[in-house]
Amino acid sequence: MTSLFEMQFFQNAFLMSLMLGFLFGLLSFFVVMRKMAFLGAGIAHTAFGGIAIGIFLGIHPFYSSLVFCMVSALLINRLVRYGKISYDTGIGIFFSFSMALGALFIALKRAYTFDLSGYLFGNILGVSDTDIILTFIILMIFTPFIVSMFQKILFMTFDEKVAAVSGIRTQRLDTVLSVFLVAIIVVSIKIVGIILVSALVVLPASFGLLFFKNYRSVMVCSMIYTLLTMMSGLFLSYFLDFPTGATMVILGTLYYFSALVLLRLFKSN
Amino acid sequence: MAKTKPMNPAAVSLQNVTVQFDGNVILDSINLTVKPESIISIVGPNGGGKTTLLNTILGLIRPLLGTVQVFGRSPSVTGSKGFFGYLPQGNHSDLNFPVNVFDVVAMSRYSQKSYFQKLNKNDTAIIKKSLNTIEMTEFSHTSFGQLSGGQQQRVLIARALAMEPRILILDEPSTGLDTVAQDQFYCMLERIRDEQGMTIIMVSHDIGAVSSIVDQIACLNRKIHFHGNPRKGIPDSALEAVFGKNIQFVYHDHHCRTCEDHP
Repeated sequence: MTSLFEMQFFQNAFLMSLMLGFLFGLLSFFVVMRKMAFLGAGIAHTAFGGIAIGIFLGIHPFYSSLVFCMVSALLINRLVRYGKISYDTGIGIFFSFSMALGALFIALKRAYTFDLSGYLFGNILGVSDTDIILTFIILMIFTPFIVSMFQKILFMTFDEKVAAVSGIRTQRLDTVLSVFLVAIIVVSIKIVGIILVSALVVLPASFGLLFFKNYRSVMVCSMIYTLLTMMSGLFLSYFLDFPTGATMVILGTLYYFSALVLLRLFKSN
Repeated sequence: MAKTKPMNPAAVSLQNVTVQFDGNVILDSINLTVKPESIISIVGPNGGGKTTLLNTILGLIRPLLGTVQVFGRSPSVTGSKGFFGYLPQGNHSDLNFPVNVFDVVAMSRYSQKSYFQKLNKNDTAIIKKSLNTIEMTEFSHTSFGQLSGGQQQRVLIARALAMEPRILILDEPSTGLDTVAQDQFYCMLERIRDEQGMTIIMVSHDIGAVSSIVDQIACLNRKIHFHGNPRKGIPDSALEAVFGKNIQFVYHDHHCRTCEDHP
């Protein structure tokens, strides 16, 4: 075990999993309760277009996908608010457009050896010191934001119209929350991958809601669940030589369904 | 020349307000004045513009023409300062949302707080008083989703009251309440007006049920066809313009023990 932590890549992956476990544990509740789970999947897939543009233009894929996803998330928000279409429709349009754009740019960059699998399903070796610093910065901004605005976001999540009438700037809050969702998803793509990251958006709160009817308990449970899922996935993938992101998501899903079955059995007795 | 300051401005004043959606006129040249500490009911048929009128007063919809003033100011200013306690039409809350009754009412108090501020003793007292007013104190720690539709409606009214608003705006508040519960609810509104000095604007389908408790009634069907005290009589022409011909009104007389217990 000691030798494991002497390896730089494992240290990075461990730190990254720890921070992401905390971030997704916090974020998941609001995404699930606002019925924006598809936005998580949509943004992750939109990142593919951003990554491809970055590679095509010779920019670091993190920055290009961050900007591309943020612009897309804001456009989806505007489209939904003013275009009188549902979130699902707005996301569906951007989702496929960005994937198509990504495929096009990769095809145009013919000579480039593109680690497609790494971006789609995550690569534990890909987590750099820069990724750790970026995630830490997001953590340091996001945590005080959530703590200071928690009750206002809760009100907005429960009843957006009344929250707006009560003086809460719901549009601004919604935009800030979307920006954080984008930033957290984009930094997590390295370790979990585009295809699998949406599971981390949806599963934590869904797991917490199985056990508790109080939002404080749901959020604490979500955070413990996410940390447990990411840590167990990281160690198991290392020892069994499995892809890390896939192991995390499979374990997380197994925990969820095991809890669901156990609860049903417990209630029926 | 000294400027004359307007004395005791109307709670709500609409002057020649016209609202259009996609080229369709929803509200046509509306003039309406609501006195402070009074109850006004806006009645009219489905699609007559009642909810649109409320949304215009709340500042959620900008009129194409005309002016809206709330205590002499624009709704965009008053809205951000907690002037309104609002109960929207129907309860669209997620029944699985993990909050209890106290949490729901507390949302109003938190909406007025600054960053990192927590509830103080005064906030807790206001929340308890609001729950007491709607007789839901014993359900404080019950999960919101476990309540009946009528109980949830009362909790949402408590949340509006906990804002300590100057104007309470209720959109179809008696939906889902049986006749006895409706009578108790209307008595409760009279008590809130008298004890807390609140102005209450509510939308209702049932002109007969509200006529005995409201100070003013506004009959709305795209235009305001009548605005005044319903007990002094509503002209048949106004009723026909709003509800059509061949209708019959059953006027209720509200007497309940709760009102008699709270003189």
